[in-house]
Amino acid sequence: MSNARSLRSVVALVAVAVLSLFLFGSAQAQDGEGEAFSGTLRFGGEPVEGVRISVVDASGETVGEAVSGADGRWRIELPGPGTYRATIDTATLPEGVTLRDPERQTLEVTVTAGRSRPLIFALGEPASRGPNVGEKLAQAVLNGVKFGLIIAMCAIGLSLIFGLTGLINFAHGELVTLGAILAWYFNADTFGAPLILAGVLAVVVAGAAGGGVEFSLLRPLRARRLGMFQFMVVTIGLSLLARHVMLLFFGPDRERYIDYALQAEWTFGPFAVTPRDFTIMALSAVILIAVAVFLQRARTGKAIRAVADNPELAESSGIDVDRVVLIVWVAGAALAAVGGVFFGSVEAVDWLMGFRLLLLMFAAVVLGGLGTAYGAMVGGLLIGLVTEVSTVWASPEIKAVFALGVLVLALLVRPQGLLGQRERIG
Amino acid sequence: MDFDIIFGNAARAGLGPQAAIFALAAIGLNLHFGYAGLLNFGQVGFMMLGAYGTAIVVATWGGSLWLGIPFGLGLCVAFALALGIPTLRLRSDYFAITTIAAAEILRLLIRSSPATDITGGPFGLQAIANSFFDLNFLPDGRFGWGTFSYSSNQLWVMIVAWILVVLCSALVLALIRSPWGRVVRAIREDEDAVLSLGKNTVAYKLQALVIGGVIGGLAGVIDALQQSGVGSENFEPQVTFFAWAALILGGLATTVGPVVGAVLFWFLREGVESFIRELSEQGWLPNALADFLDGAEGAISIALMGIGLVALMALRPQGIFGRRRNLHLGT
Amino acid sequence: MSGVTTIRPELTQAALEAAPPGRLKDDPILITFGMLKTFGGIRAVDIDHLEIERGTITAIIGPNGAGKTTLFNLLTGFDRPDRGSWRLDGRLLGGLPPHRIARLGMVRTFQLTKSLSRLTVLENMAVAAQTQRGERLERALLRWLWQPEEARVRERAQGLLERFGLAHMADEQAGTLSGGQRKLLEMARALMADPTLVMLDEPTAGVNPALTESLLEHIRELNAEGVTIVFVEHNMDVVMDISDWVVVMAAGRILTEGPPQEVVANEEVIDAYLGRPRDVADGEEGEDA
Repeated sequence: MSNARSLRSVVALVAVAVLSLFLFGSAQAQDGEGEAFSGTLRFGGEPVEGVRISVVDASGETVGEAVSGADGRWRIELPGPGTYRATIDTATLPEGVTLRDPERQTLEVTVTAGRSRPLIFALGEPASRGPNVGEKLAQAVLNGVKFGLIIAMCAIGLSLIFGLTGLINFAHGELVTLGAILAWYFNADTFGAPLILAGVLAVVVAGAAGGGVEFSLLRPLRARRLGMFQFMVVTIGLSLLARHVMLLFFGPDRERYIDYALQAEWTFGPFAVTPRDFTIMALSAVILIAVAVFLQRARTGKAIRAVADNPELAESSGIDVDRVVLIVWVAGAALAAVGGVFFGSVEAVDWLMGFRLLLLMFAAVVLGGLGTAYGAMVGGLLIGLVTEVSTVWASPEIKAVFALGVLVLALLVRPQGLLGQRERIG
Repeated sequence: MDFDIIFGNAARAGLGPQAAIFALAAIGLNLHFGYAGLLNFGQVGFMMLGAYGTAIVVATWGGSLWLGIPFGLGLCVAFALALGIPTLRLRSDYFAITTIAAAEILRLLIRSSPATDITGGPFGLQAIANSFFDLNFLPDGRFGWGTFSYSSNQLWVMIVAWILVVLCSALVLALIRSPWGRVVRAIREDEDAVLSLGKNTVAYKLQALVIGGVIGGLAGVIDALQQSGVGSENFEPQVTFFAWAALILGGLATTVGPVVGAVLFWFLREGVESFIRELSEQGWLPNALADFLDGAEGAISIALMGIGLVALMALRPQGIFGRRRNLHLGT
Repeated sequence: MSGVTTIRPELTQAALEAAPPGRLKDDPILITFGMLKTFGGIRAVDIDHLEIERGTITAIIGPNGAGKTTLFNLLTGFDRPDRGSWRLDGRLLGGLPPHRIARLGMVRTFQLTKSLSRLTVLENMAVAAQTQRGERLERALLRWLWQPEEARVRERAQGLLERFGLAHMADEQAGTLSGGQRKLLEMARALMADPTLVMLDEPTAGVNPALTESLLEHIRELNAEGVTIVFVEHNMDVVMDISDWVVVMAAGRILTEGPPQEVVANEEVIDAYLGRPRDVADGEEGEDA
């Protein structure tokens, strides 16, 4: 999606560039002028007069000088095409005016035959240094908790399905996307339903879809005793199918929900959070606690834990394993869809969001211990925190790298995961 | 409806460089999973390192291509060791998850702005294969009939790539028939049993991972050569899935399986895309449907591939050349 | 060499009645000290001292959950004890990985048979031969370096298969064997590794009576060739039949040990184990550690 979008902006840029070449190119041809540098100095919208700019050629010899006029304009004719260095004399700047970026006092520019190149020396206050590390850290922790809660919610189904059936569901990310996209259809595209209603509808449909996959495809295949590997391939096939069908209908662009798109932030000390994000965090926490209480107290929850612990034993003690697995598929898919709606609301909706999230879910589930719901929760929170906190020091583009780092470290120290059980040999 | 065009396109893809590249990737996977039982879902990471290693030496450091290729393959060895040493002692599902995550994270790293000076970031690296195409002794022009034709350079890539496919198939076959291969296959069946017989199973798994990874790296090198460049968007996780699809189609743990599977995979994929294009161009479809399909052949063929994988597992899980009996023995 | 006579014949009936665990042996091949393994606070194995006499057949018996398989896992390196040391032929084994322990001559089998299903029966045997040149990656492609050795390995494997009555299955995939045949194969395979001490985890579980008889015959033959054998067994008839020495475990500890006749007469043993109907103990596949 970002490829398509960046492609489009590249095309637009090229179009603008070509157009401007035509306009300016023809004007210059009429003037019959040769190679030159030119520009306009402005500070806070006002032209700046009397600033000296000089140009040297590749050998360091000065080839021209100019002082900006009353309109802030300056122009230096060049002896011919080539590479030149233009320097602004900061000593001639008026009081209180500085270069916005002190490192751009000298610009090295190549000029082709017959072209006049505009140069920009941006004037202004030096860019403020932004929040200090402590404030950034606080904000990153907040974001980490936010994404961690969402990852945890998405990953519970993944982990429990593994615990119950030994299946790594590569299509789990698509359930996240499905929830987010359906909510977008209900909310922004056709029906214009309020996001809360749209979200609930989306979650119901996604839960049904998860149950449908289990009931009509996986259960019959389990009866035929396919191996773990064959099941993985089935979910890979489902993932490819679902993702590209969603691409067909939804398209490659990022979309946003209509509701709660722009909000003023609440600030609590170093933390700043929009009411939307705060609500999402609170709701996520409530849902996770509800899942924990359900697993601990409810009959079905206990049955789920029993099957995850030892399917054969649970079956022989009278638990309907197929029914438990179906419930987990429906609930896991619904939770993933909730996560999708939340994620779509916090960030944006696109057809690959779930697949990207799947890798973080994998990391969370393995970190916490494959097969346990609580492991997915703890792992999800940790992964969310690590990835976000890393952005305080590292580029946000590589924050997922830290998730893997933590994962590998954890596997070295505690291979069964934080909350997992060791396997028995013999 | 012009079936000559469709068939020509499909055949061109089925025998073309892409098919050879996927055959190599699948041969590596076959050694990993078909013989050693390693669930490697990060094969694309090896391909990417082979391709980028080569391209970085040539385009970034201005070195020779003939140094770049061994450097790229060396990176694959390093990746296999870095991946294998912490995870090969663990259960196979942990290994599967770690490999898919590692490969994708490596890709994010390569395309990130801090790495741009070395990898070209989102723009990739270009013009790396000149010294490879200098060796092309074929005359200029096109070879073939109708849509089933290749340019001189494409044919040159294909000759080299298919020779490598044959060599790698032979290498894996010879390894698997040796006592080394016997231990590796035994580990696939039951690692604890092999441990109890005094074999250092982790070392064998690591060796298999390195060799299959280097063969995957070779696939990446060919990819970089045929495009004369690299770009991170060519190494998304689904490339691994497609290599798996090819392998499964052909059949696991067979010598010809990965090769035939890769040919079939590209034949079918391009055939379907070409068929859909023809459908809309011939105006046989209602306008609304034609508009919907326009430019969507890629997504549709991948979606169909998904259905195909599910159907294959449901109907013939052993692949085309696999033996069903093997599926139900033991584990 | 028959084991019983060599084990402290001076121990009188009176001493045996007390039958204290951790008795010293004349020529122990395996000595264990202070072995402790806990799972979630439960002491799965807690053994102060255990010696296995060279050249004997030692049975380890005990109810489910007594820690027999866990003890096997600890001794063969498949699991790590919380503390404890053990020596094979005087050599400390603590911290060694399982394959190193196997190379030193202690080879085990598993309760749930681990046949290598999609390898042929002959390949199952051949893979067990130790230090084969062709198993090194760097030589795997140089066929002439390992071809002669490979021929010898196959010949030896074929011989063992004939002895175990599996020769006619040599080229079949091991997965096609019956449960009893797999037990035989696993034992033959352990032998192929040239062990000095074989640890058999329930060799007769799930094997029909006729095959059991042949299995026991093989164990005796093996022992006669000088191989020390330790086995976990639930079937008391088997224990009484072939073992020279019996170690009784309960709740991770050694309850008592001694010659079979004396152990079955021990009140404590009867209470802890023998009094229980055997079928219950056999019902489950694995004991909880």
